[in-house]
Amino acid sequence: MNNSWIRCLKAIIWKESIEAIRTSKLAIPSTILFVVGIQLISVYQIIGKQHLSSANKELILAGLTIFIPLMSITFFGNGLLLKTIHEERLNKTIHVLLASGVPPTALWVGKFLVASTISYIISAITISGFVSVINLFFGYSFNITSSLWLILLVIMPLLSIGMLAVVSLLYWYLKDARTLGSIIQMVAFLGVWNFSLKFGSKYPINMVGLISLVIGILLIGLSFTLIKYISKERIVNV
Amino acid sequence: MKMIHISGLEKNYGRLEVLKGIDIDINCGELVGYLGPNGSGKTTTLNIISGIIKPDKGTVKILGADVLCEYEKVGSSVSVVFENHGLYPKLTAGENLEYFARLKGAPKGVLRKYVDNALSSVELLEKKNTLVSTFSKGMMRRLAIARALILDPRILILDEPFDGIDISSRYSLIQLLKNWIQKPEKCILLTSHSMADIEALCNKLVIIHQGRILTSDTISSLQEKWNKNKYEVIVKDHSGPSRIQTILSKYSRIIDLDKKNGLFIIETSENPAFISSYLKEEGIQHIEIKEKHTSLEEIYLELVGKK
Repeated sequence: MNNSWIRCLKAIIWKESIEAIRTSKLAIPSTILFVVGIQLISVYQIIGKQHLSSANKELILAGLTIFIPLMSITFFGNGLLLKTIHEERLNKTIHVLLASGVPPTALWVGKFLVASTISYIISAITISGFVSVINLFFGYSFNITSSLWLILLVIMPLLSIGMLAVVSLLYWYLKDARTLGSIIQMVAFLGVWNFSLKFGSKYPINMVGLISLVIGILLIGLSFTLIKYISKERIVNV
Repeated sequence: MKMIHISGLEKNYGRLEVLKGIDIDINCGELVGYLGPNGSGKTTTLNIISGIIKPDKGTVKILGADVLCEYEKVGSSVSVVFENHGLYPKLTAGENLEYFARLKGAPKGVLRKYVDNALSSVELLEKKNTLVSTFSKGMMRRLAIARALILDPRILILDEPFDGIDISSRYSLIQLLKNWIQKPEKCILLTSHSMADIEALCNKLVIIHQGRILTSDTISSLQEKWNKNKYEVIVKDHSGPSRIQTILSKYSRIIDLDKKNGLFIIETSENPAFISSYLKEEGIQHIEIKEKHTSLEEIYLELVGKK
Protein backbone atom coordinates (compact mmCIF):
# COMPACT_ATOMS: atom_id res chain seq x y z
CA MET A 1 0.00 0.00 0.00
CA ASN A 2 1.92 3.02 -1.23
CA ASN A 3 0.94 6.71 -1.18
CA SER A 4 -0.84 6.46 -4.50
CA TRP A 5 -2.92 3.52 -3.27
CA ILE A 6 -3.96 5.43 -0.14
CA ARG A 7 -4.71 8.59 -2.13
CA CYS A 8 -6.95 6.59 -4.47
CA LEU A 9 -8.66 4.88 -1.53
CA LYS A 10 -9.46 8.25 0.08
CA ALA A 11 -10.92 9.56 -3.19
CA ILE A 12 -12.99 6.40 -3.66
CA ILE A 13 -14.34 6.62 -0.10
CA TRP A 14 -15.27 10.28 -0.70
CA LYS A 15 -17.15 9.47 -3.90
CA GLU A 16 -18.80 6.27 -2.66
CA SER A 17 -20.07 8.01 0.48
CA ILE A 18 -21.70 10.84 -1.48
CA GLU A 19 -23.27 8.41 -3.93
CA ALA A 20 -24.43 5.94 -1.26
CA ILE A 21 -26.07 8.59 0.91
CA ARG A 22 -27.69 10.26 -2.10
CA THR A 23 -29.10 7.04 -3.51
CA SER A 24 -30.08 5.34 -0.25
CA LYS A 25 -32.49 7.91 1.16
CA LEU A 26 -35.32 5.40 0.95
CA ALA A 27 -33.29 2.23 1.51
CA ILE A 28 -31.90 3.36 4.91
CA PRO A 29 -35.24 3.93 6.73
CA SER A 30 -36.76 0.93 4.91
CA THR A 31 -33.99 -1.38 6.18
CA ILE A 32 -34.42 -0.14 9.76
CA LEU A 33 -38.21 -0.52 9.68
CA PHE A 34 -38.04 -3.89 7.92
CA VAL A 35 -35.56 -5.40 10.38
CA VAL A 36 -37.37 -4.05 13.45
CA GLY A 37 -40.68 -5.17 11.95
CA ILE A 38 -39.57 -8.72 11.21
CA GLN A 39 -37.96 -9.08 14.64
CA LEU A 40 -41.27 -8.00 16.18
CA ILE A 41 -42.83 -11.20 14.77
CA SER A 42 -40.32 -13.12 16.90
CA VAL A 43 -41.07 -10.84 19.85
CA TYR A 44 -44.78 -11.63 19.67
CA GLN A 45 -44.02 -15.37 19.62
CA ILE A 46 -41.78 -15.07 22.69
CA ILE A 47 -44.13 -12.85 24.64
CA GLY A 48 -46.98 -15.26 23.88
CA LYS A 49 -45.21 -18.17 25.61
CA GLN A 50 -47.07 -18.37 28.91
CA HIS A 51 -44.70 -20.81 30.60
CA LEU A 52 -41.78 -18.35 30.47
CA SER A 53 -41.13 -15.93 33.27
CA SER A 54 -40.65 -12.23 32.60
CA ALA A 55 -36.93 -12.53 33.38
CA ASN A 56 -36.57 -15.40 30.90
CA LYS A 57 -38.49 -13.50 28.27
CA GLU A 58 -36.20 -10.49 28.75
CA LEU A 59 -33.18 -12.78 28.37
CA ILE A 60 -34.50 -14.22 25.11
CA LEU A 61 -35.38 -10.76 23.81
CA ALA A 62 -31.83 -9.66 24.59
CA GLY A 63 -30.64 -12.71 22.65
CA LEU A 64 -32.73 -11.60 19.67
CA THR A 65 -30.83 -8.31 19.43
CA ILE A 66 -27.58 -10.04 18.51
CA PHE A 67 -29.07 -11.01 15.14
CA ILE A 68 -29.97 -7.44 14.23
CA PRO A 69 -26.46 -6.51 12.97
CA LEU A 70 -26.44 -9.66 10.86
CA MET A 71 -29.80 -8.84 9.30
CA SER A 72 -29.32 -5.13 8.72
CA ILE A 73 -25.73 -5.35 7.48
CA THR A 74 -26.49 -8.33 5.26
CA PHE A 75 -29.58 -6.66 3.83
CA PHE A 76 -28.37 -3.10 3.31
CA GLY A 77 -24.65 -3.66 2.76
CA ASN A 78 -25.21 -6.45 0.28
CA GLY A 79 -27.71 -4.36 -1.70
CA LEU A 80 -25.41 -1.35 -1.74
CA LEU A 81 -22.35 -3.32 -2.85
CA LEU A 82 -24.28 -5.15 -5.53
CA LYS A 83 -25.64 -1.87 -6.89
CA THR A 84 -22.37 0.03 -6.83
CA ILE A 85 -20.37 -2.76 -8.49
CA HIS A 86 -23.04 -3.40 -11.11
CA GLU A 87 -23.48 0.30 -11.96
CA GLU A 88 -19.74 0.79 -12.19
CA ARG A 89 -19.71 -1.84 -14.94
CA LEU A 90 -22.94 -0.68 -16.57
CA ASN A 91 -21.76 2.93 -16.91
CA LYS A 92 -18.27 1.72 -17.91
CA THR A 93 -16.82 4.01 -15.25
CA ILE A 94 -14.73 1.04 -14.15
CA HIS A 95 -12.93 1.17 -17.53
CA VAL A 96 -12.09 4.82 -17.00
CA LEU A 97 -10.88 4.22 -13.44
CA LEU A 98 -8.65 1.29 -14.34
CA ALA A 99 -7.32 3.12 -17.40
CA SER A 100 -6.40 6.01 -15.12
CA GLY A 101 -4.16 3.72 -13.11
CA VAL A 102 -6.49 3.31 -10.11
CA PRO A 103 -5.49 0.07 -8.33
CA PRO A 104 -8.41 -2.41 -8.49
CA THR A 105 -7.81 -3.43 -4.87
CA ALA A 106 -8.21 0.19 -3.71
CA LEU A 107 -11.46 0.37 -5.64
CA TRP A 108 -12.84 -2.78 -4.03
CA VAL A 109 -11.64 -1.84 -0.54
CA GLY A 110 -13.15 1.66 -0.88
CA LYS A 111 -16.54 0.33 -1.89
CA PHE A 112 -16.44 -2.33 0.78
CA LEU A 113 -15.44 0.10 3.56
CA VAL A 114 -18.21 2.56 2.70
CA ALA A 115 -20.88 -0.16 2.45
CA SER A 116 -19.68 -1.67 5.75
CA THR A 117 -19.56 1.66 7.59
CA ILE A 118 -23.00 2.81 6.47
CA SER A 119 -24.45 -0.65 7.23
CA TYR A 120 -22.81 -0.57 10.65
CA ILE A 121 -24.42 2.78 11.47
CA ILE A 122 -27.78 1.45 10.25
CA SER A 123 -27.30 -1.62 12.42
CA ALA A 124 -26.62 0.53 15.51
CA ILE A 125 -29.70 2.66 14.80
CA THR A 126 -31.80 -0.49 14.27
CA ILE A 127 -30.63 -1.97 17.60
CA SER A 128 -31.56 1.27 19.41
CA GLY A 129 -34.92 1.32 17.62
CA PHE A 130 -35.64 -2.30 18.49
CA VAL A 131 -34.69 -1.86 22.17
CA SER A 132 -36.82 1.31 22.38
CA VAL A 133 -39.85 -0.41 20.81
CA ILE A 134 -39.57 -3.36 23.22
CA ASN A 135 -39.27 -0.95 26.10
CA LEU A 136 -41.96 1.52 25.12
CA PHE A 137 -44.62 -0.74 23.60
CA PHE A 138 -44.10 -4.05 25.43
CA GLY A 139 -42.73 -2.83 28.75
CA TYR A 140 -39.69 -5.15 28.78
CA SER A 141 -36.42 -3.57 29.75
CA PHE A 142 -33.51 -5.90 29.38
CA ASN A 143 -30.11 -5.23 30.79
CA ILE A 144 -27.44 -4.89 28.09
CA THR A 145 -24.29 -6.22 29.70
CA SER A 146 -20.81 -5.28 28.57
CA SER A 147 -20.41 -8.64 26.80
CA LEU A 148 -23.71 -8.06 24.97
CA TRP A 149 -22.50 -4.58 23.96
CA LEU A 150 -19.30 -6.19 22.66
CA ILE A 151 -21.30 -8.72 20.67
CA LEU A 152 -23.75 -6.13 19.31
CA LEU A 153 -21.26 -3.48 18.35
CA VAL A 154 -18.12 -5.46 17.51
CA ILE A 155 -18.45 -9.19 17.06
CA MET A 156 -21.71 -9.54 15.13
CA PRO A 157 -20.94 -6.58 12.86
CA LEU A 158 -17.53 -8.18 12.18
CA LEU A 159 -19.20 -11.46 11.24
CA SER A 160 -21.68 -9.64 9.00
CA ILE A 161 -18.95 -7.56 7.39
CA GLY A 162 -16.97 -10.77 6.82
CA MET A 163 -19.98 -12.17 4.97
CA LEU A 164 -20.24 -8.94 3.00
CA ALA A 165 -16.57 -9.21 2.05
CA VAL A 166 -17.10 -12.69 0.63
CA VAL A 167 -20.20 -11.77 -1.37
CA SER A 168 -18.65 -8.57 -2.69
CA LEU A 169 -15.65 -10.64 -3.81
CA LEU A 170 -18.11 -12.81 -5.68
CA TYR A 171 -19.75 -9.75 -7.26
CA TRP A 172 -16.31 -8.46 -8.24
CA TYR A 173 -15.56 -11.74 -9.98
CA LEU A 174 -18.87 -12.63 -11.63
CA LYS A 175 -20.01 -11.11 -14.91
CA ASP A 176 -23.48 -10.24 -13.70
CA ALA A 177 -24.24 -11.02 -10.09
CA ARG A 178 -27.62 -9.30 -9.86
CA THR A 179 -29.73 -12.46 -9.71
CA LEU A 180 -27.33 -14.22 -7.39
CA GLY A 181 -27.01 -11.07 -5.30
CA SER A 182 -30.77 -10.77 -4.82
CA ILE A 183 -30.98 -14.46 -3.84
CA ILE A 184 -28.09 -14.09 -1.38
CA GLN A 185 -29.75 -11.01 0.09
CA MET A 186 -33.10 -12.70 0.73
CA VAL A 187 -31.69 -16.09 1.76
CA ALA A 188 -29.20 -14.55 4.16
CA PHE A 189 -31.78 -12.22 5.61
CA LEU A 190 -34.48 -14.85 6.11
CA GLY A 191 -31.87 -17.41 7.17
CA VAL A 192 -30.58 -15.16 9.92
CA TRP A 193 -34.11 -14.37 11.00
CA ASN A 194 -35.03 -18.07 11.24
CA PHE A 195 -31.76 -18.74 13.01
CA SER A 196 -32.55 -16.00 15.50
CA LEU A 197 -35.99 -17.53 16.14
CA LYS A 198 -34.65 -21.03 16.76
CA PHE A 199 -31.37 -20.38 18.45
CA GLY A 200 -31.84 -16.90 19.94
CA SER A 201 -31.50 -18.19 23.47
CA LYS A 202 -30.20 -21.74 23.01
CA TYR A 203 -26.47 -21.14 23.12
CA PRO A 204 -24.44 -19.11 25.57
CA ILE A 205 -23.94 -15.61 24.22
CA ASN A 206 -20.18 -15.70 24.84
CA MET A 207 -19.75 -18.88 22.79
CA VAL A 208 -21.80 -17.47 19.91
CA GLY A 209 -19.70 -14.31 20.14
CA LEU A 210 -16.38 -16.12 20.04
CA ILE A 211 -17.31 -18.33 17.06
CA SER A 212 -18.72 -15.33 15.19
CA LEU A 213 -15.58 -13.32 15.85
CA VAL A 214 -13.33 -16.04 14.46
CA ILE A 215 -15.50 -16.59 11.37
CA GLY A 216 -15.80 -12.84 10.73
CA ILE A 217 -12.05 -12.21 10.87
CA LEU A 218 -11.32 -15.26 8.72
CA LEU A 219 -13.80 -14.19 6.04
CA ILE A 220 -12.44 -10.64 5.87
CA GLY A 221 -8.85 -11.94 5.72
CA LEU A 222 -9.74 -14.44 3.01
CA SER A 223 -11.45 -11.83 0.86
CA PHE A 224 -8.57 -9.34 1.18
CA THR A 225 -6.17 -12.08 0.11
CA LEU A 226 -8.20 -13.31 -2.86
CA ILE A 227 -9.14 -9.89 -4.27
CA LYS A 228 -5.57 -9.33 -5.49
CA TYR A 229 -5.83 -12.30 -7.81
CA ILE A 230 -8.82 -11.08 -9.81
CA SER A 231 -7.54 -9.65 -13.11
CA LYS A 232 -8.63 -6.30 -14.55
CA GLU A 233 -9.97 -8.18 -17.57
CA ARG A 234 -12.25 -10.14 -15.26
CA ILE A 235 -13.31 -7.04 -13.30
CA VAL A 236 -14.43 -5.12 -16.38
CA ASN A 237 -15.82 -8.29 -17.93
CA VAL A 238 -14.44 -7.74 -21.40
CA MET B 1 10.21 10.88 -27.96
CA LYS B 2 8.04 7.77 -28.20
CA MET B 3 4.93 8.21 -26.07
CA ILE B 4 3.28 4.92 -27.09
CA HIS B 5 5.13 1.99 -28.59
CA ILE B 6 3.16 -1.07 -29.70
CA SER B 7 4.97 -4.03 -31.15
CA GLY B 8 3.70 -7.38 -32.44
CA LEU B 9 0.43 -7.11 -30.55
CA GLU B 10 -1.83 -10.15 -30.77
CA LYS B 11 -5.11 -10.89 -29.05
CA ASN B 12 -7.55 -13.74 -29.47
CA TYR B 13 -10.95 -14.27 -27.92
CA GLY B 14 -11.26 -18.02 -28.08
CA ARG B 15 -10.87 -18.90 -31.77
CA LEU B 16 -11.50 -15.34 -32.88
CA GLU B 17 -8.27 -13.58 -33.80
CA VAL B 18 -8.91 -9.93 -33.02
CA LEU B 19 -5.40 -8.51 -33.35
CA LYS B 20 -2.87 -10.18 -35.60
CA GLY B 21 0.45 -8.50 -34.95
CA ILE B 22 -0.11 -4.78 -34.56
CA ASP B 23 2.78 -2.28 -34.61
CA ILE B 24 2.12 1.37 -33.87
CA ASP B 25 4.40 4.16 -32.67
CA ILE B 26 3.05 7.45 -31.43
CA ASN B 27 5.45 10.29 -30.77
CA CYS B 28 5.27 13.60 -28.94
CA GLY B 29 2.95 16.13 -30.57
CA GLU B 30 1.24 13.55 -32.75
CA LEU B 31 -2.51 13.50 -33.06
CA VAL B 32 -3.27 10.07 -34.41
CA GLY B 33 -6.56 8.98 -35.91
CA TYR B 34 -7.14 5.26 -35.47
CA LEU B 35 -9.63 4.08 -38.03
CA GLY B 36 -11.20 0.81 -38.94
CA PRO B 37 -14.57 -0.81 -39.59
CA ASN B 38 -16.65 -2.09 -36.69
CA GLY B 39 -15.05 -5.19 -35.20
CA SER B 40 -11.65 -4.48 -36.70
CA GLY B 41 -9.92 -4.45 -33.30
CA LYS B 42 -9.85 -0.73 -32.44
CA THR B 43 -11.46 -0.98 -29.02
CA THR B 44 -9.41 -4.04 -28.13
CA THR B 45 -6.24 -2.08 -28.96
CA LEU B 46 -7.41 0.84 -26.81
CA ASN B 47 -8.26 -1.52 -23.94
CA ILE B 48 -4.79 -3.05 -24.13
CA ILE B 49 -3.07 0.35 -24.29
CA SER B 50 -5.03 1.50 -21.26
CA GLY B 51 -3.98 -1.57 -19.31
CA ILE B 52 -7.45 -3.08 -19.01
CA ILE B 53 -6.90 -6.27 -20.95
CA LYS B 54 -3.79 -8.32 -21.47
CA PRO B 55 -2.49 -9.14 -24.94
CA ASP B 56 -1.66 -12.72 -25.89
CA LYS B 57 1.58 -11.62 -27.53
CA GLY B 58 3.51 -8.44 -28.09
CA THR B 59 4.44 -5.45 -26.01
CA VAL B 60 2.86 -2.09 -25.29
CA LYS B 61 4.99 0.59 -23.73
CA ILE B 62 3.70 3.89 -22.48
CA LEU B 63 6.39 6.47 -21.74
CA GLY B 64 8.83 3.59 -21.75
CA ALA B 65 6.94 1.53 -19.14
CA ASP B 66 5.45 -1.86 -19.99
CA VAL B 67 1.67 -1.64 -19.50
CA LEU B 68 1.51 -5.30 -18.52
CA CYS B 69 3.48 -4.90 -15.33
CA GLU B 70 3.99 -1.18 -14.76
CA TYR B 71 0.69 0.39 -15.75
CA GLU B 72 -0.03 1.88 -12.35
CA LYS B 73 3.24 3.84 -12.60
CA VAL B 74 2.21 5.59 -15.81
CA GLY B 75 -1.58 5.37 -15.51
CA SER B 76 -1.77 8.86 -14.03
CA SER B 77 -0.21 10.23 -17.25
CA VAL B 78 -2.99 8.68 -19.34
CA SER B 79 -6.57 9.88 -19.68
CA VAL B 80 -9.15 7.92 -21.58
CA VAL B 81 -12.59 8.83 -22.88
CA PHE B 82 -14.35 5.66 -23.93
CA GLU B 83 -17.22 5.47 -26.38
CA ASN B 84 -19.60 5.11 -23.47
CA HIS B 85 -18.79 8.34 -21.59
CA GLY B 86 -18.12 6.60 -18.25
CA LEU B 87 -19.61 9.24 -15.96
CA TYR B 88 -21.44 8.83 -12.67
CA PRO B 89 -25.07 9.85 -13.28
CA LYS B 90 -25.86 10.25 -9.57
CA LEU B 91 -23.03 12.76 -9.08
CA THR B 92 -23.05 16.35 -10.26
CA ALA B 93 -20.77 17.51 -13.07
CA GLY B 94 -18.47 19.14 -10.49
CA GLU B 95 -18.35 16.02 -8.33
CA ASN B 96 -17.52 13.82 -11.33
CA LEU B 97 -14.51 15.99 -12.10
CA GLU B 98 -13.51 16.40 -8.46
CA TYR B 99 -13.45 12.62 -8.03
CA PHE B 100 -10.91 12.19 -10.82
CA ALA B 101 -8.91 15.18 -9.63
CA ARG B 102 -8.71 13.57 -6.19
CA LEU B 103 -7.77 10.20 -7.70
CA LYS B 104 -4.96 11.81 -9.64
CA GLY B 105 -3.70 13.60 -6.53
CA ALA B 106 -4.73 17.21 -7.10
CA PRO B 107 -3.84 19.28 -4.03
CA LYS B 108 -6.92 20.01 -1.89
CA GLY B 109 -6.46 23.77 -2.02
CA VAL B 110 -6.75 23.94 -5.79
CA LEU B 111 -9.33 21.21 -6.40
CA ARG B 112 -12.12 23.71 -7.04
CA LYS B 113 -9.97 25.78 -9.34
CA TYR B 114 -9.11 22.71 -11.40
CA VAL B 115 -12.76 21.69 -11.59
CA ASP B 116 -13.96 25.17 -12.54
CA ASN B 117 -11.28 25.57 -15.20
CA ALA B 118 -12.07 22.18 -16.72
CA LEU B 119 -15.80 22.92 -16.75
CA SER B 120 -15.22 26.34 -18.31
CA SER B 121 -13.11 24.81 -21.07
CA VAL B 122 -16.11 22.78 -22.25
CA GLU B 123 -18.66 25.53 -21.48
CA LEU B 124 -20.32 23.62 -18.66
CA LEU B 125 -19.44 25.79 -15.66
CA GLU B 126 -23.05 26.84 -15.11
CA LYS B 127 -23.97 23.13 -14.86
CA LYS B 128 -21.41 22.44 -12.13
CA ASN B 129 -24.03 21.51 -9.51
CA THR B 130 -26.38 19.67 -11.86
CA LEU B 131 -26.69 15.90 -11.71
CA VAL B 132 -25.14 14.22 -14.74
CA SER B 133 -28.26 12.04 -15.12
CA THR B 134 -30.06 15.13 -16.47
CA PHE B 135 -27.40 15.84 -19.12
CA SER B 136 -27.85 15.33 -22.85
CA LYS B 137 -25.51 12.95 -24.68
CA GLY B 138 -23.51 15.85 -26.07
CA MET B 139 -23.08 17.45 -22.63
CA MET B 140 -21.92 14.11 -21.23
CA ARG B 141 -19.33 13.86 -24.02
CA ARG B 142 -18.04 17.34 -23.25
CA LEU B 143 -17.89 16.58 -19.56
CA ALA B 144 -16.02 13.33 -20.22
CA ILE B 145 -13.43 15.28 -22.24
CA ALA B 146 -13.15 17.87 -19.46
CA ARG B 147 -12.57 15.03 -17.01
CA ALA B 148 -9.87 13.59 -19.23
CA LEU B 149 -8.08 16.93 -19.43
CA ILE B 150 -8.54 17.99 -15.82
CA LEU B 151 -5.04 17.17 -14.65
CA ASP B 152 -3.25 17.76 -17.89
CA PRO B 153 -2.26 14.19 -18.78
CA ARG B 154 0.52 13.48 -21.27
CA ILE B 155 -1.44 10.93 -23.29
CA LEU B 156 -5.06 11.34 -24.25
CA ILE B 157 -7.01 8.41 -25.68
CA LEU B 158 -10.39 9.26 -27.15
CA ASP B 159 -12.85 6.68 -28.43
CA GLU B 160 -15.44 8.38 -30.67
CA PRO B 161 -15.09 11.70 -28.83
CA PHE B 162 -17.48 13.72 -30.98
CA ASP B 163 -20.31 11.23 -31.19
CA GLY B 164 -23.61 12.97 -30.39
CA ILE B 165 -22.11 16.46 -30.16
CA ASP B 166 -23.67 19.40 -32.01
CA ILE B 167 -21.65 21.29 -34.63
CA SER B 168 -20.67 24.30 -32.51
CA SER B 169 -19.62 22.15 -29.52
CA ARG B 170 -17.67 19.90 -31.88
CA TYR B 171 -15.85 22.90 -33.28
CA SER B 172 -15.01 24.20 -29.76
CA LEU B 173 -13.75 20.76 -28.69
CA ILE B 174 -11.57 20.43 -31.78
CA GLN B 175 -10.04 23.84 -30.99
CA LEU B 176 -9.59 22.81 -27.35
CA LEU B 177 -7.76 19.62 -28.34
CA LYS B 178 -5.67 21.42 -30.97
CA ASN B 179 -4.55 23.94 -28.34
CA TRP B 180 -3.87 21.19 -25.83
CA ILE B 181 -1.63 19.24 -28.19
CA GLN B 182 0.55 22.35 -28.65
CA LYS B 183 1.82 21.90 -25.08
CA PRO B 184 5.09 20.02 -24.75
CA GLU B 185 5.18 16.22 -24.49
CA LYS B 186 1.59 15.45 -25.39
CA CYS B 187 -0.05 13.05 -27.80
CA ILE B 188 -3.59 12.07 -28.70
CA LEU B 189 -4.88 8.79 -30.07
CA LEU B 190 -8.47 8.93 -31.21
CA THR B 191 -10.92 6.72 -33.00
CA SER B 192 -13.77 8.12 -35.01
CA HIS B 193 -16.13 7.09 -37.75
CA SER B 194 -16.16 10.64 -39.03
CA MET B 195 -13.51 11.44 -41.62
CA ALA B 196 -14.29 15.11 -41.19
CA ASP B 197 -13.24 14.87 -37.52
CA ILE B 198 -10.08 13.00 -38.41
CA GLU B 199 -9.17 15.49 -41.15
CA ALA B 200 -9.91 18.44 -38.89
CA LEU B 201 -7.86 17.18 -35.98
CA CYS B 202 -5.28 14.55 -36.82
CA ASN B 203 -1.86 14.73 -38.40
CA LYS B 204 -1.35 10.98 -38.60
CA LEU B 205 -3.62 8.12 -39.60
CA VAL B 206 -3.52 4.45 -38.68
CA ILE B 207 -6.00 2.18 -40.44
CA ILE B 208 -6.75 -1.24 -39.04
CA HIS B 209 -8.77 -3.93 -40.77
CA GLN B 210 -9.42 -7.49 -39.61
CA GLY B 211 -6.79 -7.16 -36.89
CA ARG B 212 -3.97 -5.92 -39.16
CA ILE B 213 -2.61 -2.44 -39.73
CA LEU B 214 -3.20 -1.48 -43.36
CA THR B 215 -1.43 1.85 -43.21
CA SER B 216 0.27 4.09 -40.70
CA ASP B 217 1.38 7.45 -42.00
CA THR B 218 0.88 11.19 -41.81
CA ILE B 219 -2.30 12.29 -43.58
CA SER B 220 -0.45 14.52 -46.06
CA SER B 221 2.08 11.85 -46.91
CA LEU B 222 -0.64 9.23 -47.30
CA GLN B 223 -2.62 11.44 -49.68
CA GLU B 224 0.54 12.31 -51.60
CA LYS B 225 1.49 8.64 -51.97
CA TRP B 226 -2.03 7.69 -52.86
CA ASN B 227 -2.40 10.32 -55.56
CA LYS B 228 1.07 9.89 -57.05
CA ASN B 229 0.87 9.24 -60.81
CA LYS B 230 -2.92 9.15 -60.71
CA TYR B 231 -4.91 11.34 -63.05
CA GLU B 232 -8.49 11.96 -63.98
CA VAL B 233 -8.96 11.93 -67.75
CA ILE B 234 -12.25 13.33 -68.98
CA VAL B 235 -12.94 12.58 -72.61
CA LYS B 236 -15.88 13.81 -74.61
CA ASP B 237 -15.72 11.55 -77.61
CA HIS B 238 -18.34 9.51 -79.40
CA SER B 239 -16.07 6.71 -80.56
CA GLY B 240 -17.00 4.63 -77.53
CA PRO B 241 -15.34 4.01 -74.20
CA SER B 242 -13.88 0.66 -75.17
CA ARG B 243 -11.77 2.25 -77.89
CA ILE B 244 -10.55 4.95 -75.50
CA GLN B 245 -9.81 2.26 -72.94
CA THR B 246 -7.65 0.44 -75.45
CA ILE B 247 -5.80 3.62 -76.37
CA LEU B 248 -5.25 4.66 -72.75
CA SER B 249 -4.03 1.20 -71.80
CA LYS B 250 -0.97 1.62 -73.94
CA TYR B 251 0.68 4.08 -71.53
CA SER B 252 -1.35 3.74 -68.37
CA ARG B 253 -3.33 1.46 -66.13
CA ILE B 254 -7.01 2.22 -65.88
CA ILE B 255 -8.03 2.16 -62.23
CA ASP B 256 -11.62 3.23 -62.58
CA LEU B 257 -13.97 4.54 -65.19
CA ASP B 258 -17.29 6.27 -65.40
CA LYS B 259 -18.52 5.46 -68.92
CA LYS B 260 -21.53 7.75 -68.72
CA ASN B 261 -19.47 10.86 -68.01
CA GLY B 262 -16.42 9.77 -70.00
CA LEU B 263 -14.25 9.81 -66.89
CA PHE B 264 -11.20 7.57 -66.73
CA ILE B 265 -9.00 7.36 -63.69
CA ILE B 266 -5.56 6.26 -64.74
CA GLU B 267 -2.22 5.53 -63.17
CA THR B 268 0.78 6.32 -65.28
CA SER B 269 4.40 7.21 -64.95
CA GLU B 270 4.13 9.33 -68.09
CA ASN B 271 3.77 13.08 -68.11
CA PRO B 272 0.06 14.14 -68.36
CA ALA B 273 0.97 16.46 -71.27
CA PHE B 274 2.34 13.44 -73.13
CA ILE B 275 -0.86 11.46 -72.49
CA SER B 276 -2.91 14.41 -73.70
CA SER B 277 -0.95 14.78 -76.95
CA TYR B 278 -0.99 11.02 -77.49
CA LEU B 279 -4.78 10.94 -77.18
CA LYS B 280 -5.06 13.86 -79.64
CA GLU B 281 -2.81 12.02 -82.07
CA GLU B 282 -5.22 9.12 -81.83
CA GLY B 283 -8.00 11.45 -82.88
CA ILE B 284 -9.66 11.90 -79.54
CA GLN B 285 -10.78 15.47 -78.86
CA HIS B 286 -12.04 17.43 -75.88
CA ILE B 287 -9.64 16.00 -73.37
CA GLU B 288 -9.15 17.25 -69.86
CA ILE B 289 -6.45 15.74 -67.67
CA LYS B 290 -5.98 16.72 -64.04
CA GLU B 291 -4.22 15.28 -61.01
CA LYS B 292 -6.48 13.08 -59.00
CA HIS B 293 -7.31 14.25 -55.51
CA THR B 294 -8.37 11.34 -53.35
CA SER B 295 -10.19 12.19 -50.15
CA LEU B 296 -9.36 10.39 -46.92
CA GLU B 297 -12.71 8.67 -47.11
CA GLU B 298 -11.89 7.24 -50.54
CA ILE B 299 -8.46 6.10 -49.38
CA TYR B 300 -10.03 4.46 -46.37
CA LEU B 301 -12.73 2.73 -48.44
CA GLU B 302 -10.19 1.47 -50.96
CA LEU B 303 -7.91 0.18 -48.23
CA VAL B 304 -10.61 -1.74 -46.43
CA GLY B 305 -11.86 -3.10 -49.73
CA LYS B 306 -15.24 -1.42 -49.78
CA LYS B 307 -14.60 0.29 -53.07
